[in-house]
Amino acid sequence: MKRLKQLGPPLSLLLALFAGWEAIVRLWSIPDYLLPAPTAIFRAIPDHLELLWLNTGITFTAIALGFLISLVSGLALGIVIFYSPTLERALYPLLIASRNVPLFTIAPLLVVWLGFGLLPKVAVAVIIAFFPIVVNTYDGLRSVDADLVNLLRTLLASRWQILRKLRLPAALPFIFSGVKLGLVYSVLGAVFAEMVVGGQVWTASGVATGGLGYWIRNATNFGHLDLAFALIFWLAGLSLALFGLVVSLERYLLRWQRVERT
Amino acid sequence: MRSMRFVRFGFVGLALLAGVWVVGGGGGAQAPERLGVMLEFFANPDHAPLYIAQAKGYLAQEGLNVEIREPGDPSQVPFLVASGAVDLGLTSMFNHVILRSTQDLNALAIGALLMKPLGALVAIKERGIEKITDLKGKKIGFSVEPVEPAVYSTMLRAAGLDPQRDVTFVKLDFLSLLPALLAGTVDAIGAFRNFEPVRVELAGKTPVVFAQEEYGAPEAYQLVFIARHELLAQRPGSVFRFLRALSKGVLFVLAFPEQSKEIFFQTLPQLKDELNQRAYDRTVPIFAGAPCHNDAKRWETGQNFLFDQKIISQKLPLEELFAGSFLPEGCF
Repeated sequence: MKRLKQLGPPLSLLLALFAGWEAIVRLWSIPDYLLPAPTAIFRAIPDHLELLWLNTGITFTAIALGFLISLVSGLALGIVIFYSPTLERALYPLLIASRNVPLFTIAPLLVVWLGFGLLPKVAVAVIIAFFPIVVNTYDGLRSVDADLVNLLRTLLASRWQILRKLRLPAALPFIFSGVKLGLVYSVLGAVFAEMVVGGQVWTASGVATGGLGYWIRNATNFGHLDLAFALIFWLAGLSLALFGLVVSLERYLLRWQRVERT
Repeated sequence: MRSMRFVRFGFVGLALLAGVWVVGGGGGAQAPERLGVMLEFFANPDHAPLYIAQAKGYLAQEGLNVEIREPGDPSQVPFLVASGAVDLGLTSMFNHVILRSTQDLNALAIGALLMKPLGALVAIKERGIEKITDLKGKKIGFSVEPVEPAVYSTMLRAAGLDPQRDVTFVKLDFLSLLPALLAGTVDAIGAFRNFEPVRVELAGKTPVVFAQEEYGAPEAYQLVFIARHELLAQRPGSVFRFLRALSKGVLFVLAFPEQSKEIFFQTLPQLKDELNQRAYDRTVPIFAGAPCHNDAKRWETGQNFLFDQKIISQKLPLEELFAGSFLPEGCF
């Protein structure tokens, strides 16, 4: 009942938006090639189930791999640069610069460097998802109360014990902020890569398996805006589901925070 | 009618020759040789002979296992070819000449797929545009610099208009061109004559098409296959056999347009909609003569046009632009 109450406001807002959208399209007779109505968009989903199913798996693989690599390497690098001032000085400016890499230029080149298929997509996802995880991990580790660290030191705790028992748990809220951003960026990166990296091959079953990003662009090109929007909605749903998973994990791992607050 | 009969005879002759060659062991028992081909855009009816050559087994008969890929960004195809990421790629003749001239791109054109330009200015009759001079005072949307503005300026000048004063060119993303035309944001767009007019028709309006070569712009090959020099030196036989298989695909499409259309949409069922089916019919005549891209006059005129428009600053000897030596028999 409580969960239903929580879902009430966003669902009501969503329904109101769709109703308004539908009304505008119908009242002003806006043609499909400019803006399809939500009903047309939702009809396109069952019409293209095979395409959605095949390509969701492909996009999800790129997102998941991109996110996991960003997570592991981002956490590791965040910890390493926290403990090594030399590495911090060397790497931090590079990390910030990496955030400004013009992906539109780099993405097609990744095909030359990494070949066609999954790898360039994962690489684009990692390039943009990695940054918030590293920075938030680093900031989280730095935010720990120095008195608490000193207390553990007086108790002869090792560096590893301080990290495991104090710094990492205390940094978790920061880390999760980075992880949530990293997840959203992984989705963005993988889908963007599917739009620009290229190299799709049509399979024997007659479906190009370039992923959801590829199909958004393809459908737009051939004037199937209903399918393009259906893919965007589908992708938004996938993104929300993944985000929900991370939030659930965060709630579980940070349950002590809620206890503290109450 | 006579030309169609000729095409049919040609096709049957080639098929017989291919049969004799295969029976004679030409196909061999060796594993097929891999050849990567990158299109210049999403797969569409412009590529029908290639997909037909694959579906009908012409490529396999030539001992080739061809993997057809789509690019993410059309402008990257020549660079992917030059870097060796793909073996063959499709691009426009103009684009190829520009990259050869300005960047010494490591690639040669080896054959054509579309023998005429697709480029055209497309407008809507219901908005009062029937002649090209009706574009005076109007906005023209385009997406690819620098060739498109040069071509459209030439067309407008040929019609007695001043492209600087009489029209406004608006640069748009390719995907927003047609919506902009339909919504009236622009009055005409630079578009492909086999696709965008169909989309205008499907939107319930009457398209008006001004073909570029009818208004003084050169009759360039719309799509040519390019390959890097190393590949041509190391695998000349593969390139020759690829083009021979392609020529059979072209002949099949020309001789049996309805049957080829059916095969094409069976191979790429996701494309089977009204737009692509109508576009298919309009594209078929443009394959006539492919892959013979060895009309030196066209290359010369095309290169001169780019030079006169100051898009390139040096003219190359034609043998540095295209090679005719890989074309199948009948191109000379």
